[in-house]
Amino acid sequence: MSKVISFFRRQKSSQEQFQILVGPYMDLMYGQAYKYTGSAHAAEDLLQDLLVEIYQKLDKLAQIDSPKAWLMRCLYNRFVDSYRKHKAQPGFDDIHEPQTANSLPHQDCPETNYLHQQIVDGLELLSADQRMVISLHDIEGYTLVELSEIMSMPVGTLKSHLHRGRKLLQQKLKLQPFDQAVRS
Amino acid sequence: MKCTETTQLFDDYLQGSLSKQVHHQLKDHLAGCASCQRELQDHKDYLQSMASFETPKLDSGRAANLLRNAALQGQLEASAKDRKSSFVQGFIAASVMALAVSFGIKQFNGQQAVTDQTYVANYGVDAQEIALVINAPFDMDGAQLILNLPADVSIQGQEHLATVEWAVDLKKGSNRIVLPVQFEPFAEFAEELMLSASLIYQDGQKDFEVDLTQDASSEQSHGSAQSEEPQRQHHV
Repeated sequence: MSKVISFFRRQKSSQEQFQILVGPYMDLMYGQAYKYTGSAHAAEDLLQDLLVEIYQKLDKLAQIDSPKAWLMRCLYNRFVDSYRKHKAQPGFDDIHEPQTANSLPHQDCPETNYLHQQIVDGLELLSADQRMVISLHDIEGYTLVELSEIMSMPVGTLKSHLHRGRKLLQQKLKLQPFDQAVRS
Repeated sequence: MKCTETTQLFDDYLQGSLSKQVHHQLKDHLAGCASCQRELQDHKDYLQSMASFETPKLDSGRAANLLRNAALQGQLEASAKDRKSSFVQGFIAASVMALAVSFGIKQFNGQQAVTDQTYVANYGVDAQEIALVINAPFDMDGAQLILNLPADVSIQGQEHLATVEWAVDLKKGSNRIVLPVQFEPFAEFAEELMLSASLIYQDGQKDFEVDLTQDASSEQSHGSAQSEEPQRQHHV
């Protein structure tokens, strides 16, 4: 009956510090997690896992000059881990979680919602690297030089991911324009 | 300039970051190449679509929950990794009302006569934490502490657990354990909220109960008589 839970070693001040350090970036991380995973539910799961990991590294986070960049890199690394796990267990990929109307940002605009869903579906076609570059460069507006610093990747590598990713995504967006979907 | 060379320059062209010479070369090429003009327009449309992409917003209450759950889970994982690490003393906020629970002479192991006192402090039914203060008569490494929670009280983020159990290294003197708890809304109407606990060390066990609804200044909680005699260790 009894479940063993271990003791709460950190004091309340650690929780407060955690909220102070991480709280301001919750929206940013959630938004990026959404672009990585393609659903609100999966984004929350990814973010929750990341937060647990970050809590263990609280002392490190407190000493970092640019917490935003560090958190973005941690989030990406966490996503890559989960992406690989899902690739290794393809059965999970078959479970597609459709977006509900309430979870979409433009509830009263079908055309915008359709484009939104097309981009989400398109991002899912991409590799983890491509998804990262496309979402941060083309959606969030980071430059490749900035991304190179944040992700510790050469600009040339990022450029290659961007180029290949765009090709796939543009193809996806071209193939299914909104008016066709309305007619069908 | 060839058509195959143009597409890779579109980003820089649109941002105006090409050198003057390359910029004019591309501009001249576009002026005479309908295919590249279409490519450039497609690229502009693509960038516009991507720039308009918005993600759902994270509700502030949900964000707070995620942070709180992560902190609790992080604490649990950290503890699981290092069960035998020394006990870290917690703290009680200044507003805490102290509720003292005194025990008489207690023998652990049937060999060593010790005096042990346990204090439980709480904030009342609106509390977010319960502080358990254990006065250990001597260092008690690897003592097992088991708490049976009242039905209307649960550990934050672990609402499904009625019993929590963990190993603590108690140091001689005052040891404080702070539990993040939450009370059901109707808990304030409960006549009693009985928290029962057992402290097991080697072959000895001490049981005690505390009513969390009792006013700290007027009531003394009652320690179980079981603590008077050493008992065999068992798990709840």
